[in-house]
Amino acid sequence: MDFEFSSEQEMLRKSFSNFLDKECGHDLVKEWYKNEKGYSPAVWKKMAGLGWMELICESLGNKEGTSFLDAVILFEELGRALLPSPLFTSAAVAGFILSQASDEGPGGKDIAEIMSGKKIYTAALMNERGELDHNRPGVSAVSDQNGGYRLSGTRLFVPYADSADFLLVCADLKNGGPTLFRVKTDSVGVTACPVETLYPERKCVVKLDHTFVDSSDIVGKAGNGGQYVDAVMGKITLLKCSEMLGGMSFILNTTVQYVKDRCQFGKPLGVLQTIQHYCADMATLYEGARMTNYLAASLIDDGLSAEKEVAMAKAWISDGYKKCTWISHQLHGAIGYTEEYPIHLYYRHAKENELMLGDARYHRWKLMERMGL
Amino acid sequence: MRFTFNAEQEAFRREVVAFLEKEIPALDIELDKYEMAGGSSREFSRKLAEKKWIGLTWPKEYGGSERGYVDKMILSEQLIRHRAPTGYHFAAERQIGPAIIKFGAQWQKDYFLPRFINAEDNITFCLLFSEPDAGSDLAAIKTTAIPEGDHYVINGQKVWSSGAHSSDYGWLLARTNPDPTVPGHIACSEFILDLKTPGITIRPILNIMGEHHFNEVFFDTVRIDKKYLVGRENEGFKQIVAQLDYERAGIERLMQNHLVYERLKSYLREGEFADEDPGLVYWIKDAFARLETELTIGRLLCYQTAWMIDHRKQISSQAALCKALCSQYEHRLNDVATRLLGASSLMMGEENPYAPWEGLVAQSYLHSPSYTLQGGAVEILKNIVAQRGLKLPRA
Ligand SMILES: Cc1cc2nc3c(=O)[nH]c(=O)nc-3n(C[C@H](O)[C@H](O)[C@H](O)COP(=O)(O)OP(=O)(O)OC[C@H]3O[C@@H](n4cnc5c(N)ncnc54)[C@H](O)[C@@H]3O)c2cc1C
Repeated sequence: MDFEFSSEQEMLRKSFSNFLDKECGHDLVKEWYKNEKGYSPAVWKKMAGLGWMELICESLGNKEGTSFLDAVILFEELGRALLPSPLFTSAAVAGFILSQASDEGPGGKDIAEIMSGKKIYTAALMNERGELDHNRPGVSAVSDQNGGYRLSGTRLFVPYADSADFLLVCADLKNGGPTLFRVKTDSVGVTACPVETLYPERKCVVKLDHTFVDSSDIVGKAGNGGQYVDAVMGKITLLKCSEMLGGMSFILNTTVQYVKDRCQFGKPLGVLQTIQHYCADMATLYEGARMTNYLAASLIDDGLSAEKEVAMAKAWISDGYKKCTWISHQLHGAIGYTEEYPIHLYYRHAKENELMLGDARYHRWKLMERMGL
Repeated sequence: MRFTFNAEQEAFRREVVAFLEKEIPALDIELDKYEMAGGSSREFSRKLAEKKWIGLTWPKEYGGSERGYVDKMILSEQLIRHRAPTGYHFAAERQIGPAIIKFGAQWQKDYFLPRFINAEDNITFCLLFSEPDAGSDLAAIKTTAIPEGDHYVINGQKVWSSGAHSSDYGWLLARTNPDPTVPGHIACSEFILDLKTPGITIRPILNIMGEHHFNEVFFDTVRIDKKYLVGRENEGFKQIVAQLDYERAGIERLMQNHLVYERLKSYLREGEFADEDPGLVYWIKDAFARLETELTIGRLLCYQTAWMIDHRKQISSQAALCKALCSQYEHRLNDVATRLLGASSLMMGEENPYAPWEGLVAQSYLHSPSYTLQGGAVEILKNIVAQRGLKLPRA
């Protein structure tokens, strides 16, 4: 057992956080939410230059010297900074799914494009009710008389679909089952409209209206689409947990600092026991989050199954992060309720990600399934 | 970073399991159905001693094996999972031995440590800290130990002294500076007290179950040789703080009721209640999944604290956070078990044919209120996390 990151890992973390401190203050983050693409293409280029997409795609351990923990650390730092970018959807979600499928068919070339950052992929896996439906896709794929297929259906919460180059869509292939397709976003019949949600990172409603795809756009084997997604869902979920852990750490540190600085009744708020106990509760939620997150990460890094542990991590972190943001708002008073002060971004981030990839209730149910109970 | 055992740790875990699976059934005693971790057997302690598994972390010069606290945690976890009766040497090993190693005089080391490590006769200890007016505020103790020639003369009263009626010795905290204007944390000292010394009266206090575990202990001009002082005069408080950290980091704070957890899990596995009220089925699964997550976290926090000791890090705040989480988990575990079984869980008594699980659940539920108090109440532990861990200012 080793409860500390190695000095190389700490250096890596430092390099991430140095970059993020420099490139992405909260003022910029708020600007990017509103700009045309919802992220900064200039910063994206720099991230590619630093090899972040590559680091994520290779964290699955197919190459010597790469580690899943590196990606965990990266997403923690991203969550601390709340940098908006297609990194998660392109490199982690699409990248992992494509790697999984590429053992059984083409896909290698696509991953190379993702790793270079030159092309952006996004995953369109949620139906109109906001549910992941890759095993019973609400998108239909019908054979076209000239060969190839026509895809139709509506997808919700598709990150950065308005600026991505490709969508990964799981569609119900007539008599063939759930099948993954790679769809060029500029194809005829694809529309991607940004929608307003509680957390302002860019998400679109994507409509596919008889969109033509070639049979070479099938990712992996026809009928196996749902399996590919399921196979990498744990890893994807854990990177999301890592991002949430980073958000928790920001909230904990910012709030503790605030109650040390803010004085009322002639004393810092932090001398009051009620306030101290709120802070101790946040620290406990955070410690629990670290334990579950790193336990699952250790197992994944060792190439072992971690389904039970990922479920525990997502269950604990979904609840814990959200509770920390509640406490943080309470302890900040009115200043925290201003548009200018950053904590509402985390309050939003916590709520969105609580509900994405399965909330705490869902993952506790999964945990019981994994334990055979 | 690696939150899982390495190969040697896994091998040690297996070795311990194999030993316990062989030795515990062979013991001449029946494990108390309810005393999930508190059973006591000198025979068993001696067997552990033969394996050199008492004093695993102690220096070699005192007969120890100089292994790390993570190894010790691996051993402790298995002992508790197997409900091993470790009560005979428990306090001597966890609290008294390490304190003597750190602060004790040479004769104390020579005399006590070999006896502890070999689980010889007369090594049971009780802790004589709390007093009627000094609970969480331990520095407020009033019992005095005043030097008089070659002796200390002790007067005063202790309370909640678990097992004092069945122990050989007490580990006593008393004021050596009687001047009440001097604050307690620089006025107290630690002593080893032979409970057969004249002037000591031990009276039982019954706990909420009507059982006799803890006691009041009175001292009326108790004279002890000066050599029983441990460490330096008036530095007892400083010495005790470090010991409390070690005490809090123990996995027994998490797993005293592990039997309840095991029974609950097999009950769920067998699905005896599967076609009952779907609301109950759903709720109980959700509640158990929460418990499982807390247990996993609590266990890792215990190991993390052990690892921090091995790496010479400050553990006060971590140990406090860990103990607070663990003791609250145990309380919830017992509550969930009662609600799963419903009203039948109220039945008590081993012989009661209507009592599920031999009345275990009602019994553990009655134990529960003490967990979040003894060894530091949750509120005090949160103060420590806030002040020592998060560096929030003191009032
Ligand atoms: C089963 C059991 C066995 C025990 N065995 C032993 C033993 O062997 N030897 C021994 O010496 N002692 C023993 N104790 C005593 C134990 O250490 C004390 O109960 C504990 O320190 C709390 O003290 P108290 O009971 O006087 O409660 P109090 O200190 O009066 O506390 C009562 C309540 O007030 C809260 N409180 C107190 N101070 C603060 C504060 N500053 N901020 C916020 N809240 C506060 C507490 O958290 C608690 O909730 C045992 C206790 C139990 C229950």
